[in-house]
Amino acid sequence: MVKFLGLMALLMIFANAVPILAQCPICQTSETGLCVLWSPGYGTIYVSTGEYFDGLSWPRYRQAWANAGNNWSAVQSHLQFYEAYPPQILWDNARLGPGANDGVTLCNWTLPDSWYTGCRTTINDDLAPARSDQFLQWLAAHEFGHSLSLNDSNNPGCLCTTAMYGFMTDPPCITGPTGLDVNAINFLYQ
Amino acid sequence: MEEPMRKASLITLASILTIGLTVHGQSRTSQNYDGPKIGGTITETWADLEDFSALVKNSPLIIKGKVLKTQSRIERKGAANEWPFTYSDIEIKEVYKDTLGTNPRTITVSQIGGPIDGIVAVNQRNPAFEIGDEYILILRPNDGKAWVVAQSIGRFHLDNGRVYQKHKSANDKLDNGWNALLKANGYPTDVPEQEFVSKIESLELPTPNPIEPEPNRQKSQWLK
Ligand SMILES: [Zn+2]
Repeated sequence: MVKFLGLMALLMIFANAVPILAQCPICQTSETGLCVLWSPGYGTIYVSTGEYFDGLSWPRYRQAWANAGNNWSAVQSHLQFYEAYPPQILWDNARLGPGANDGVTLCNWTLPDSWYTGCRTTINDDLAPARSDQFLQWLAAHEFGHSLSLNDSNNPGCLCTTAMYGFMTDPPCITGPTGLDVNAINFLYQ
Repeated sequence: MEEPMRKASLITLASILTIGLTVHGQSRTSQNYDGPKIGGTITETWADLEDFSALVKNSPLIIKGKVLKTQSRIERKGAANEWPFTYSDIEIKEVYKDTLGTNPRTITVSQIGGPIDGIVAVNQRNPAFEIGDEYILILRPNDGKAWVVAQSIGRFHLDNGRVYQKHKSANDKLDNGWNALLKANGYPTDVPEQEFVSKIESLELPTPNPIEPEPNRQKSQWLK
């Protein structure tokens, strides 16, 4: 009966004055930067998991996403995430599969007949049950970062210096946004 | 019972969204991004980036093939978690590894993203295949219906006797160090095809090492 309900975190951005950075921050000089603009600046993040998700994992997913929402909300006073009430989880019949990746986020994909804007994330339920709480929290923070229009960083030296490095060990070395991510947000949202 | 709850959920969402839309702030494009306007961007995240050797060893099917047909469609159309998928039929020309003994002639590979009604959801790591292109594919089984590209990166485009990870024409504007990361993990790219194939053959284990069998899980009781 709840299979179509969604765990929805709502992002609202209020215009406030914050320091202006000259350019998007980078982690290492070979990078083109963390910032892109694929989010509209406001909207809804939907988080879904697969058909075979383990009911026991649901509180862990929910906590991870709540922590990530709180962490990003603390970056700027006008970034506010709210969990939809009642908290829900979407059921997904397209499995990512055991050979795929941990999480996928799609942003700014708006079809002519679509009634909403924002980002959506799918957690790989073939992998997530075996991941630690800390890893799920990093995953949530990372996918939230994408929804805020941050791109992946791919330099191994950035593993622990930005939440946007594209991979993470389990247990992770960080579980939320870093100073670099704060700078990127301050660049994008002024 | 499902429909009323779903409607209630959508109404709640719509009302919250309305508030959000009235107070949105300003945002600004990165000075570094001047790529084409795209209809959506897909990013993928892993706990472990397998090195090239692990990718080969942990994949039961490695083939060379040509994209015969592609079909993109939305899964769960109209739902809040709708996702675009592309399913490509691949005609197999060479089999380098077939641990499961499926001996396929054509296979279907699924990818997240692709063009829907002319609007492309671009999968940065694993953009949708296009008809006529040839690839060496390192594959993993998914759900019995389609194969998936191993870790979304086991795809190597063949062009003029050379092999390129992802695609020769890959747009590197958003690369952000990706190619360097792959090279550091032993991924060959922009190399002669024969060199690439020899590398795969040299990595194969004498005893098959397929991925672990499906866990014996039942659908959650949430999901009746
Ligand atoms: Zn990512």
